[in-house]
Amino acid sequence: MTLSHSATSTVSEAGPRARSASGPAGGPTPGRAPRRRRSTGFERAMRVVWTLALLALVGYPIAQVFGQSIVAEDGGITLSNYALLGTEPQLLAAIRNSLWIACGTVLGSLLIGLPLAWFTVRTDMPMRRFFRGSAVLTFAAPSFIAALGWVLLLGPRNGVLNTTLMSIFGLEESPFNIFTAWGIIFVLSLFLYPLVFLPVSAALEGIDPALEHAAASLGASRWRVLRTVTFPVIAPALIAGAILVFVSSAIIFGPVAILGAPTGFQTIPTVLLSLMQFPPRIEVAAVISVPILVIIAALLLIQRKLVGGRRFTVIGGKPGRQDVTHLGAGRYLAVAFCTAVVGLSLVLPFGMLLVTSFRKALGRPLGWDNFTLTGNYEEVFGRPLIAAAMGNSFALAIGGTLLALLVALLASWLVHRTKARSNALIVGAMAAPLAFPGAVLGIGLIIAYAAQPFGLGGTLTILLIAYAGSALPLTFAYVHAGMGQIGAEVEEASRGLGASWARTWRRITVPLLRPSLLAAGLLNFVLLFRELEMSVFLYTGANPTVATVLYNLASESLYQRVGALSVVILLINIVVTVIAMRLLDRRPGESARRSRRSPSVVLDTPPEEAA
Amino acid sequence: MTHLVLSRLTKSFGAAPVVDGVDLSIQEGEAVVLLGPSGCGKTTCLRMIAGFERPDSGEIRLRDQVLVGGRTFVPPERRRMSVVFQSYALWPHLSVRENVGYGPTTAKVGRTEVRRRTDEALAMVQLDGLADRYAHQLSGGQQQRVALARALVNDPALLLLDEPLSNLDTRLREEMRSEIKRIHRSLGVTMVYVTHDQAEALSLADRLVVMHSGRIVQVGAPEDVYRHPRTSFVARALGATNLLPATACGPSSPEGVPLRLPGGITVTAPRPADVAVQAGDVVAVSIRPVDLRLSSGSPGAAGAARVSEALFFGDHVQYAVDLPGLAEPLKTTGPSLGRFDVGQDVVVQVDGTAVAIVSDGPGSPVLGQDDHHPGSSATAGAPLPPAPAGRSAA
Ligand SMILES: Nc1ncnc2c1ncn2[C@@H]1O[C@H](COP(=O)(O)OP(=O)(O)OP(=O)(O)O)[C@@H](O)[C@H]1O
Ligand SMILES: [Mg+2]
Repeated sequence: MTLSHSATSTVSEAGPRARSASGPAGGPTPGRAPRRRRSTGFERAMRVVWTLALLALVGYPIAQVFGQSIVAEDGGITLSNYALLGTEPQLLAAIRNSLWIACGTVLGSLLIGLPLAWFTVRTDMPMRRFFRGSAVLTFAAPSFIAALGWVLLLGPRNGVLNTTLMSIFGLEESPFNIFTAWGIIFVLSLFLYPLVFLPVSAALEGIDPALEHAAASLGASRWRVLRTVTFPVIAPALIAGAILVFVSSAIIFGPVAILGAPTGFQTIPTVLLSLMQFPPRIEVAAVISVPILVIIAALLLIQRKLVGGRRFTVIGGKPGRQDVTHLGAGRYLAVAFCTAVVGLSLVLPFGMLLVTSFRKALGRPLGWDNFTLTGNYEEVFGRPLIAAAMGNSFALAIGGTLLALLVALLASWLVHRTKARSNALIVGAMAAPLAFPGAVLGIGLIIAYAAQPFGLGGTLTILLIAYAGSALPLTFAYVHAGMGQIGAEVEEASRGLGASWARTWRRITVPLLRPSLLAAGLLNFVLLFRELEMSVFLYTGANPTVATVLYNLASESLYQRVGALSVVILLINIVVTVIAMRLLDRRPGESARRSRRSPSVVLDTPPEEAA
Repeated sequence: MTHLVLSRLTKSFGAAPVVDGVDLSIQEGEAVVLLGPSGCGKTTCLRMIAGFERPDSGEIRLRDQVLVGGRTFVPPERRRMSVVFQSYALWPHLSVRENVGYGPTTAKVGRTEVRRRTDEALAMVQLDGLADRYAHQLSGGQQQRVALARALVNDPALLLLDEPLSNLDTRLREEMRSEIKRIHRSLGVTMVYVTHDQAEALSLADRLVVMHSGRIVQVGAPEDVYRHPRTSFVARALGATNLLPATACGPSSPEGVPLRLPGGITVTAPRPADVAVQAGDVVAVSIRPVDLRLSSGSPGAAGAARVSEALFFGDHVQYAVDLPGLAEPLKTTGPSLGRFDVGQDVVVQVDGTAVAIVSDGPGSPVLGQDDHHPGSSATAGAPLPPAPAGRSAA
C-alpha cells in the first residue's frame, strides 16, 4: 500500500508536467489557421460524397417505395392505393399473423432471456461465462438455418424427435408440429432472446449495488428489493430489448418462410415476396411497406429514448461489487435451464443438420447403413450452381463490408472532426437502415435500380448495394465509437509534426481504429455471407448466393444437401465469429472499464513508465 | 450505554486480510469516525456492520442482540441500520418523496404516517420544496441531502455513512459537514462515519478511530489524537507535520520528558502513554507546522535557522526553514504581516506541549541509540498517508 501511495503521488505530479511539456512541441499554433481554411473545401467535398453514397445505397430506394405507394395507375398522384390495405384479406391476415408472431416471440424471449441474464450475472451458478458466451454465439447464428434444423427435428411426419417420442410413448400421432405459428414463435424466441439477454445482463451488471443495499438497509426483503429497485432500474433495458425483438420478429423472413410455407401461413415479409413474384404488384407491396416503415421507425425511436433516458442514469461514485445470490441446490436447476437453452438454440438444430449431412436417405432410420461421410458434400460441391453461389457470397460479403466501412469511416470522420450543425443528422442517417426491413429495402432497390435506366435487376451490383446499405448501421456504430475514443489531439500532434493529412490517416488514425474496423468488418462479413432477407427479393435466377441456394434446396426438400451446405456455411460463420470475438475482447473500452473497477491497478504503474 | 460492539472482527479477500482483528465499542448517541488511507478496510468494516459482508470471524453486537457471531447472521434488512453511500444511491426511478418514503412504506406504517415522516425528514434537511423532483433534477448537494433524509426517516439504530461528502466540491462539503453535525446533535443518532479527509474526521467525531492496513492504530477524542499521535502514521494522517529526531536529555518525570531537538532547542514534552523513555534515548517527535514560531534572530542562538522558502497565501505565509542538523527543512507557518524573506536568519521556538513523542509501530517504540543519519531516521519507517485533497480529486 505504502509503495502505491508514493507511486500515485509521483504519477499525478508527473501528469500535468508531461502534458505541458508536450504542449509546445505537439501543437504549434501557426500551422493551425491555414489548415482550417484549406480543409473547409475538402470538408464540403467529403460531405457531398457521403450524401451521394447514402442516397445511392438507401435513400433513393426507400424514397422510391414511398413514391410508388402514391402513384396512380395513370401516373398521377393518389392516396387511393392505401385503400388496398382494407380490401385485400391476405394483407390483413399477414399483418395479424406478424403481430401475433411478434408478441409471442417477445414473451418467449423474455422468458428465456431474463432468467438467463439473472443467472449468469447475479448468481453463483457454475459455468456462467460459458452460457454467456453461447448467448452471444446464438446471436451470430443464422436463424433460418436453425429453422431448417427444427424441420428435421419436429417435422410432423419425419421429425426425428417426433418419431422418437412416438416410439417411446407408443403415440399414434406425432406430438409436435413445427409448421405452426407456435413452432415459428418457438424457433424465433430461441434466436432472438439475446436481444433481451444482452442489454438486461449489461444493466444488471452496471447497477450500482448501493441502490439495492440502500433498500435492504431500510428493511426491504430480498424480494421487495428485486421488485421495487432492481426491476425498475433495469426496466428500460428490458423494454428496449423487447422492442428490438418485436420489430425483428415481425419482419423476419427466413424462419417464417420455411416454417409457414407448408400451411400457407403468411406474415408481412412473406406476403411481400409473393406480391413481388410474377405478376408483380409493386404498388401493393409499396403500400404495405410504408406504414410498416413508419411504425418501426417510431418503435426504434422509443427504444433509443429508453436507452439514453436521463431519468434512468445513475450518478456514479466508486462502483462497488455486485451481490451474488447463492442458489444452493437451485444451482442445478439453473444449470439445467441454461443447458436447455443452449441445447435448443444451438446444439439440437445445428447438430441435426450435421447428422443429416451424413445421411444417405431421409426416410430411412439413422444407422451405419444409412451413413455416407462425403456423399452429400460431394453432391453439393459438385454442382456448379453452388460453387458459383459460394464465390458470389464471398465476393458480395467482402465487397459489401468494405463499401460500408468506407462510408462509415467517412461519416464518423465528418462527425468527429468537423463542426457542422448537420453532423447530428449524419448519426441518425447512418442508423436509419436499422428501421428498414430487408424485404422493404429489397423492394425499394428493385423499384429504383432493376428497370431502365439502370437495368441492374438480378445483377451482383444490386446485391452489393443492398448488402452495403444494410451493413451501414452496425459498421458505423463500431467505427464511430472507435473514432470517439481516439481524440483529435493524436491526429493534430501528427499534423503538427509536419505529416500530411493522408499520412496522418495512414500512420495514426487507421492503425488506432484497426480493432474497431476489424470487428465491424468481420461481424458484417458473417451477417452478409448468409444474407437471405434481401437476397430472395433480388434473386432472379441469375446470380445465386449461398442463402438463396439453401432456401431453394429446402423448398425442394433436398434435406441431405441442405444439411451439408448448412454445415459449410456454419463453419465459415463460426471461424469468423470466433476471430471477431477475440478482437472485440480487446476493445480499448474494455480495459478502461476494468481499470475503473480497480483504480489501484492503474495507479501502481511505475512512475518511469508513466512519465 | 454501550450500543454497538465489534470484537475481533476479521475479513479477508483471498489471502490478504482486509480487516484484521478490529475491536471497537460505540456508545449510544456517539459519532465515531473511521479515518485511514485508501484501501485500509474502512468500507469493509462498515459493510460488515451493515450486513452486506459476512466477517470471517469475530462478533458484532447491537445492544444485547448478537448480529454476527458463531452461527448467527442477521441480514441487513433486519438490522435497522441506515446507510448513506458515497454515490448517494438514490433510486433514479423514484421521486424525492418516494425515495425518502421508501423506508416507512416498507415498514407498512400507513399512508398518513409515511407522509408525515417523509415531510419531517425532508424538512430536517431543508428540502421541503423539492419533493416531487427526480434525482437527476437535483444538484449534488441536494442529492446528498435526500440520501441523508432517506437514511434518517426510519429512526435507525445506527447511521452509517461511507465518505458521503467526497463527491461534493469544497464549499458544499463544508456546508454539508456542519449540516451533518447539526443533525447528529439534534437527533442524537449513533453514527459511524467513514472518511479519509482529516478535516471531516476531526470536526465530526466524538471519537476518532485511525485505521491502517485493516487494524485500528489509535482511538480517542479528536483533539487528543491530533495532539498526541502515537505513531508517525497517525501524526501524518491528521495533517501536515514535522517528524524529527530528538534526544532525551534527562529522566522522564510527571511533568514530561526533557528533550533536545536538532538545532539545540530544548523542550519538555508530555510523556507518551505507552512507551518509557530513558535519558539518552533517541526518539521521534511530531510537531505541527502551526506550533513552530519564528522570530528574527542571529545565527548561533538555540534554534537558529534560515528561511529557504516562503509562500504567501494571503492570510498566512508558509515557510520552509533549514535547521542545522536536519536533512529536511522544517515546515512552519506564520502571519502574513511582518513576514520573513528567503535567506533571512530566524530563530525557531516551540512550546513543549506541542511536541508529541511518536513510536513507529509496535516492536520499535524508540529509535535505537547511536542512530545513523539523525535527519532522515525519524521519517524512514513511517508510511505516508495519502494527501487527502489529491485522493478525492482522483
Ligand atoms: N469484494 C472484494 N473482493 C476483493 N477485494 C476486496 C473486496 N472488497 C474490498 N476489497 C479489497 O479490500 C481492501 C479494502 O477495501 P475497502 O473498500 O474496505 O477500503 P477503504 O478503506 O474503504 O478504501 P477507500 O478509502 O478507497 O474507500 C482493498 O484493497 C480492496 O481492494
Ligand atoms: Mg471506501
